[in-house]
Amino acid sequence: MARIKKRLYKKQGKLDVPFLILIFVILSFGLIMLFSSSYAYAYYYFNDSFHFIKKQSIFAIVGVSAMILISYINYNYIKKYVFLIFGIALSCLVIVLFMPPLNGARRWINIPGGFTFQPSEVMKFAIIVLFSYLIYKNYNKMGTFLYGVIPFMFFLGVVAFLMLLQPHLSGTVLIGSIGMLMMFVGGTKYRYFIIAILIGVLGIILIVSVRGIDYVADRLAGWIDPFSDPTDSTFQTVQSLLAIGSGGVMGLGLGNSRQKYLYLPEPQNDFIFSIVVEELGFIGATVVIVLFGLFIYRGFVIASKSKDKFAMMLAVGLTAQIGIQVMLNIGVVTNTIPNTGISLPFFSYGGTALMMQLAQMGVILNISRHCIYEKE
Amino acid sequence: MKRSGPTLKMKNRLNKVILSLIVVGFLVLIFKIAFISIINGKFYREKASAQQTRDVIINPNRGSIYDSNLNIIAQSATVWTVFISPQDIKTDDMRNKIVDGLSSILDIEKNIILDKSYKKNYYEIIKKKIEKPTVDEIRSFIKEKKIVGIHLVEDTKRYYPKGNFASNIIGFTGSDNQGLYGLEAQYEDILNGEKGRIVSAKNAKGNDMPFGYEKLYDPKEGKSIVLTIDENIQHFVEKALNEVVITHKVQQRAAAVAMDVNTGEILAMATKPDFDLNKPFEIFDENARLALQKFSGDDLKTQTSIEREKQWKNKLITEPYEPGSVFKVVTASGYMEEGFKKDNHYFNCPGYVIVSGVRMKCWKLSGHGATDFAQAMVVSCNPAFVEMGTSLGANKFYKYFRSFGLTEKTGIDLPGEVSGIHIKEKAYGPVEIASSSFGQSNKVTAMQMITAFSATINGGYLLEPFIVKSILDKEGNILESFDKNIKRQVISKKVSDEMKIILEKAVSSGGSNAYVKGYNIGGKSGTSEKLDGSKTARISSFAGFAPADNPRIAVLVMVDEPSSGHVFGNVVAAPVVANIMKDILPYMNIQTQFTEEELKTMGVIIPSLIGDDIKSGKNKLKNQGLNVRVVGNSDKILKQTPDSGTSVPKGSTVILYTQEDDEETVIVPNFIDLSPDQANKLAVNSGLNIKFVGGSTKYQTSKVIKQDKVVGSVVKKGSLIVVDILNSDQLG
Repeated sequence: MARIKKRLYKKQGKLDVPFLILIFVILSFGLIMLFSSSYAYAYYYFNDSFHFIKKQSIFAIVGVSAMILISYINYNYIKKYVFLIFGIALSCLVIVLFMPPLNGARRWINIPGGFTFQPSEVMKFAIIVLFSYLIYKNYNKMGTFLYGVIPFMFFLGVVAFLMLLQPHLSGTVLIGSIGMLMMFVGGTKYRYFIIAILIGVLGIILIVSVRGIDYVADRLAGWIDPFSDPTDSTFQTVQSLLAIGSGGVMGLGLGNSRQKYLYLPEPQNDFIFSIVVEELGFIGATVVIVLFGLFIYRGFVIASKSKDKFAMMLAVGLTAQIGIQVMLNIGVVTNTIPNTGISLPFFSYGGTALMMQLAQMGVILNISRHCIYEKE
Repeated sequence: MKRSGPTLKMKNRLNKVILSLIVVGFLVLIFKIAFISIINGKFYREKASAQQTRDVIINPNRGSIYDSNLNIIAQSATVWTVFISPQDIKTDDMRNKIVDGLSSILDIEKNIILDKSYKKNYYEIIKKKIEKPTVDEIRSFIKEKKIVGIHLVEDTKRYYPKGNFASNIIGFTGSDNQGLYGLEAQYEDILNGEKGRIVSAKNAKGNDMPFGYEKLYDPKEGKSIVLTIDENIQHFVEKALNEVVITHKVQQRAAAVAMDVNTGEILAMATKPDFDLNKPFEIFDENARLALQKFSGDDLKTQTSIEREKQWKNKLITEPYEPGSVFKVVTASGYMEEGFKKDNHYFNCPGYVIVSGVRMKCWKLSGHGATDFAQAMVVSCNPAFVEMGTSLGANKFYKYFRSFGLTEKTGIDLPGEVSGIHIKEKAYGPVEIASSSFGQSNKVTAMQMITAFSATINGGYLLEPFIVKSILDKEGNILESFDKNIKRQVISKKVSDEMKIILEKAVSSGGSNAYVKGYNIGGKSGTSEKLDGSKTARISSFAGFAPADNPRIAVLVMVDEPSSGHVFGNVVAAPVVANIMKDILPYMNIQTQFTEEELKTMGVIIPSLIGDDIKSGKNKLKNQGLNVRVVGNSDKILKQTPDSGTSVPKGSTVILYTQEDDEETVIVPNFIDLSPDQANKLAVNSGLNIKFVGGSTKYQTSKVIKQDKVVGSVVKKGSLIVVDILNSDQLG
């Protein structure tokens, strides 16, 4: 075992330090904000202000250890087990359908011993791996419909079908977006994306004609003016906007959020970003977004310098996953897009998700070890 | 190896297209955040702090209203508001206790409280303005039953200890202590102070936030106002008005104002009938209340509010009227000021005058014949005034009409003042000047009229009347005080002095009922047709002032539609002025000056002579100017009629009895409608003493209108009969 490790180490280069630093900065920032946003809620409901931060910190430590460890494991092992990984993920998606529903949806698998995890998180990783593999294998034929579109659509279709049975719309949208992004980078022709957009428009028209104008109008009204009905569906959005609006330029100061005192429901989850703005203001919000921007940029740099197309697509998919989640999450809390349930990576409470994210960062770090830096 | 690496196309798609899209996406989000937190931040911050804080309002103590001698007219006292915090009611058991308890203590239906107890907030008012005993009951209920969720906060309530005293000028406040009417509304900002608040930060469950944010904004106490109104003078005026409303069956209310002619201070101001300030929404007029019973539903609501408005209205500033002959003082002043008055000029009155083919009657249909200027005023001859107006012409007539302030509001510090309705300068033709000269055609408010009237006798100064003398802080220190404000001089002192003399004559020599024994009073009566009312509707008015040689106070009384059969200002309104003056002038310490004639009939108080010997008794009475008749032959006085302490005129006869059992009696005859002389004779012949009250006894046109002892009743010989006399000459 020690020999293998040594060999692996020898064969692999240095990991990308800027990327690692960015991960640590964002993670620390996220943990601080998680503590700040959650302690009132934790105090009122668990009689322990540290309830969430304790758990999250443990997962962060485990996650960081996993990340470091994985950064030493050659990504080629993943290439070898692509279909195994996808098979396991797919099985999980089936198994979850037999789990007891929570709030009307079956999204969590309970493992005896108190652990729970979302198979959609696993599937996200599996799809990234699978698509990277497909592009790696069929790169030259990506321009064709048969290789550049059909297989991807097939897998996405199966996954979407299973996930909508849970139902889990936001997860489906997320996986779909990552998949499409990877196809685009992988070389699928522009025209198919244009066709996809047209199909999307047709789909919206179809929904309107089936559910009726009124239903759509109602949903849109709640989105356009959340204050029109602040007691019901838009309550969270309203409270989120009040928090963001209270922040102003400089914010109320770290720890001084008022909205977290039970006004904003579960401020440690999907809406943690509104507390960030309330406490740290527009400046703080911009810092968070810029950090994520730098993170994505660095991820793409690693991808661009990868040793092979599989590694590149893997890095693209994993990085883009974070980027898309950030965009969707902040889009929701600022009421830029309608409310879906997507958490903010490294910030929102959720142990398994954090662990998974960090582990995946380990994969990118490993890829960075194999990067080819042209001599300049 | 090289073949398996990322191609340029892949790199471009990633680093150019995808990265750009992500950058654009992030920029959109940054803009959106800036939009919410910076550009629209205020909107959200206000909403956020509205939900994060609980306000408890502390009502300030409203300032008091004092009369000029610092007697309290309006004051506020502490009351309480009961509210519940439904979110604090955790169990149905507690809910039932609260509902049962409050409903029985406050006499409110259970359902109403029950509904409120299910609201999702912390502040549901159950009842406002409850007083101490009820509050104590609630407090002990809370303590006994260990109630959570009932709260009491202090509030204030307005009290008017004098009920309907000066109600039309004081006004009243609403349920939030805001001034709604009269001075309460006019001085709202000063009286009300500023509300205080306790703002505390609460979490969504209503508990205090851990950082203990709490801010107290102290209420600012209201300031008090001191009126120029004198409680006593106001009482005299209200009493006199109440009487006239009853005796002359007044249809459209009667009003009076008393003003300091040299400063413009309003000493009293009243409209009757009025209302109780403590219950302003009740209808107090009996007839109006009966009339309302005919209505129901929405009609009832509208009619009720019309009636309320009617009883609240301060007639003197809100209802312009045709001033009638009182207005002649303005025409006369202008006529003199412009130098038209000639000593040897005589006006001719055949009982009418024809102007541009329009025939206008004088009130004396037989005509006044030839009168000089002063006499024209005394007898109030219309054709004489038409001539004066015509001499002035449109421009000059309008000039005085305007300079006497009749085209503008007086500026009195009361809400709702209107200006009259007048003919514009350009619209005056000969007929308009003629009718305007004796006070018809133009409408003015009584307030405008009394300020103009005062200007004719105070040296010519048009004053701005005012009703608030000073503003006091809570400790009674004067913060601000108001003084007289001369708007302009409208006539010279010389003309004004002459007007005083003429107007004094109008009372003393013209048979006026405004005469008060011992005082020099000047004045002018007026009777006007209501141009927009029914044909027979009249407004009787009288403007008087005293002392005539050095005026201090002016009183204007207007009686709108008397229906007793009498309508003339001299008959209806002048006695009211006299009635008011006879009370006010002694109160104001104005020295009496009796004429020879008056001294002869001055009242004396009969001393007690019982037990005295007859000689000294006789002397005592003779010294006081009384006649004596002795019955019996003994030396000791056993009885006397009238009794001691009775006030009788000089020259009355006192009967002294020196023996028992032979008291003589007489049957009271009818004095009504007799002239003073006739009445006097009848009294002497009947063996009675007589005392005249009201107008002067020297006019043969005066008649007895009332006697205090019933005709046909048996009284002791020598008893005093008190009779009221009135000069029923119309005098314009």
